[in-house]
Amino acid sequence: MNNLRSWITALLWIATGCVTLGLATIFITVSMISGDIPKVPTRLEQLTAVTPTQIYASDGSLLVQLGGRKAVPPDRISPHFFNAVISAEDDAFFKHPGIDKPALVKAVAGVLLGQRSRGGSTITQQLAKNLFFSFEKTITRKFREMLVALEIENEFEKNEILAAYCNWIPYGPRIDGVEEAAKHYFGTHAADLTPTQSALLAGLPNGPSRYNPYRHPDRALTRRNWIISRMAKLGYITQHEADAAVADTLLHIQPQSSTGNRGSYFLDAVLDQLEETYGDNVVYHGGLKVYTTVDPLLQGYAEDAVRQALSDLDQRFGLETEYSKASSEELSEYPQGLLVAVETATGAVKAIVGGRDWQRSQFNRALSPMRNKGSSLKPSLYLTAIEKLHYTPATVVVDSAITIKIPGAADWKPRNFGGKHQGPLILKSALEQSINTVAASLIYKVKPEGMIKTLHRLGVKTEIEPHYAIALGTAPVLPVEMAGMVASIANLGEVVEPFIIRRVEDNRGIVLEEHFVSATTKFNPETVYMLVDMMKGVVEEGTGIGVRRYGFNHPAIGKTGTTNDYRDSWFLGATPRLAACAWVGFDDNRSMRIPGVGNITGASGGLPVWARFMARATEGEPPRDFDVPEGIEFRYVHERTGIETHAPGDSVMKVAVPIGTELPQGSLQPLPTDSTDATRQPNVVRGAR
Amino acid sequence: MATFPLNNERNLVKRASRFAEVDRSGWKLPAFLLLVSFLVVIVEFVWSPIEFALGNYMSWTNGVRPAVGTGWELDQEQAEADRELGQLVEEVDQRQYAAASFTDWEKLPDLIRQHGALSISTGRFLELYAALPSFMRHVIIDPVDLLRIRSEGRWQRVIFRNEHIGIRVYFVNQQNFALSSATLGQLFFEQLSDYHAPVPGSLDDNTTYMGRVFAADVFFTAIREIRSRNQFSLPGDWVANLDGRLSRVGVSKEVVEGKRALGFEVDQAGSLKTYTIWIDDQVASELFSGMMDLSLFQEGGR
Repeated sequence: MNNLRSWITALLWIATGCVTLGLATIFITVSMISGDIPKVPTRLEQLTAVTPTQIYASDGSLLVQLGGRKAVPPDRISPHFFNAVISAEDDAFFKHPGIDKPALVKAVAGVLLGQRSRGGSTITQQLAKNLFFSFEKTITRKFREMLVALEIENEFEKNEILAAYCNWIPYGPRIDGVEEAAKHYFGTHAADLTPTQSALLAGLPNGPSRYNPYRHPDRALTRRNWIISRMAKLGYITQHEADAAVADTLLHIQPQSSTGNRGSYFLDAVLDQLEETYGDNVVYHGGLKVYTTVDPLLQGYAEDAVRQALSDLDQRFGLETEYSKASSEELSEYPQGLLVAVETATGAVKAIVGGRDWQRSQFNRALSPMRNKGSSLKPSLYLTAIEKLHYTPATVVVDSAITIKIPGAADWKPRNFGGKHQGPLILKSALEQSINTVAASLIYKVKPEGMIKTLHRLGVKTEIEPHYAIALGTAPVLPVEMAGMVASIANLGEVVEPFIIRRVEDNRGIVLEEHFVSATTKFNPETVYMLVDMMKGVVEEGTGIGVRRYGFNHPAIGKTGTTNDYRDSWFLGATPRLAACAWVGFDDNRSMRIPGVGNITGASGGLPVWARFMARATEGEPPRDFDVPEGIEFRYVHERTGIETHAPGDSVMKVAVPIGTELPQGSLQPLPTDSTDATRQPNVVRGAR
Repeated sequence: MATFPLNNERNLVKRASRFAEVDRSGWKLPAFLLLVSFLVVIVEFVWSPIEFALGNYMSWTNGVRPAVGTGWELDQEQAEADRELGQLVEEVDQRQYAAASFTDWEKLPDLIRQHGALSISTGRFLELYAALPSFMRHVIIDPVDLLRIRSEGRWQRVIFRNEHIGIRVYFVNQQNFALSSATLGQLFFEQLSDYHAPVPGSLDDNTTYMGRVFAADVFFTAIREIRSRNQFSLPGDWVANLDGRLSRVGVSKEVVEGKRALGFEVDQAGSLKTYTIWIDDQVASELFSGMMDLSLFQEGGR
């Protein structure tokens, strides 16, 4: 008996000693580590409310909200939601002082016994963790989190803590706080959530991805029903209500935005510009309101056009796996594409697609100057020739082999597509057929500096080195600038600057920045109309005739572009309302030759993207032709001799020329062609470097 | 009958019963400890004094602890954003004050240099426009064009912006679409300055007038003919403010942006001053030819 007594006494002493020691250890440890523990703010809303930066489309719809979190006060959160959160996460919330000891003991026991059990963290602990700590799982972190939870409980009312938790916790990607979640999933306010809706939302913070109602509706439903049953068990709803709620097997959430990631390349461009102007802090935490130019409808059409056209190309390249399902290693095997659309009257960028899928490749090709442009820059060369050399679409030029000697460098011998020459032909026909030797002859006459000056006057801002090859597109012009350039041509020389941000306001509505649309007349409309006439010919009879196969029937100007060895396929064109530039190619600059199938040119790569987009963008619009300036008249000329005729006929082209232009008169017998042989007697000229 | 001493018996019974009894005195301490432990556990589980103590301790040390962690980082970023945004808004405010203080065209280059851009209401622009010398107004906008955009009812404000070619003026509507625009180059402000501020000295001091200076009466005769053809007139307010007697008029040799300077030499009680007005080259050349013809005629007459 004495022995037993001694043992019990000793054990109790040890226990008492341990408790005392434990308490002492806790207080000593706390006093030692508390210096590193984050302080708690005097108002929890100070941390939980972050004003978001909102970016709007041109139709006023919200494109994206950045970095914000709308904190609503407790009285603007449905009590059903509070009940659901408590049922799901911490049913002893109103009883414990920040730490739920029984739940903690149960959780520790579960871990020790290797059983999977509900975590022992209370709502306050979860709030502390989310507010101040990383998500690393260590004992120290857990201990610190507990201490902060105890302080939060010591400082704030339970409903304040609960509201802060509801306002801070994420409910899905970019969905922070209950107000945002209620809006996102149910199109309602946090104050108006029903018990069933509350149960669904309260289940999400535990695993926003695992219980994502769009991707895993079955899991979300199971979790919702479990929370409903808990709410009934805790007396928040009646069993009858719970049964009725559980019997409803639909989640009743709003359909997910059909646009998915649409506009992401555009958004990237907007964010780049904003960050450059205002810095990251202001952009992500300043609560700006940014009004952009993007038209969500056109952006959608543009993305569809790129995706569909590239999907067709995949088949031609023998790529059987869908791009979206291709492995990361396989991605470089797939062609890429871009499209930029600009409103001609203002320069407002309506759509930017910088690649076929933003999720898989965020590189924005629409804002990259890297690729050569092929013949798509020829319009600016022809415009220079019209201005400087007083050419008209009826001017006869000669397509023959040409060599330009460049001091200190190899001779430049541009070749035509197909390698053949036609001899004399009128300028309009040369552009329609995109004849390279004529372009070389023109750049020799107007000089590279002349063409660069025209490009700059057309709104291109990129610095361009003067060399003859710019006639064939060797210039680092941005696709968005090309779209602006063709818009300026469609405007008959009223030059517009492409822009993506209309206005930026701070959170009180003070305007920080706004764009003024100012179309500057930099060319004579008659001069530009002659180019418009020739570029309309490209679409009606030339290399761009393929646009009509895609159901696009509006009057339009256009120009194809193909670079050496079929590495790039461009098409740029415009209606009087909308201009666009499209490209297709491989990121690694590989050739798009397809032996046995056909090579990808501007007409078979960029053109389908452009035409598919334009067909939908102009659908339902009454066709509108380009305004003809007063000083322009239409005449008929022979396409080879330029001799005027008074009626349409074979080999006769209708050309726009200034009123009173003297045209060659005579018989319509074609002149003998000087050459159809590329090797015969090249026209050698000496050029400056 | 055997007898036992009574006392001894009692003692024995006492002793025996004492021997048979449990010794409770040795259990007091363990029992006490058990009770204390039990009470501690009960008190802790019911009232959580340790948590409250720790919570109080944490609150007590809150003031000296660092503002770190995700929430505070966000808070600091927000504070920084607010500060930067405050600066931007301050700039906007200053721009608005500057726009309010824009009462004199000659101050415009400085204001634009400081603020980059200014926006003024249509009413304010009209006041400023009216204050310009009439011969300079069309540089900004032709009065007929101004009447047109006013009549269309879409004109909302005027923006002055610093651009590489000079100060650009945009007449914009509610959608920020420029209804009209113009560039105010250096010449505009030089003309304005020349117009308001005479230079001390005679026309002979400025080489641009060398050989191109005429007597006042020649000027008056020549201008009469020019006015009948070109509807040219001198700004009335300028003439009214001219202090002194016009002695000679010079026509500049140089043409700048299609304009040529007319120098007016004024005698103010014996001291000479030169006022400058810039007019279209065509009118100036015509005036020069007229004055030259008259001078030659007068010399020939002599």
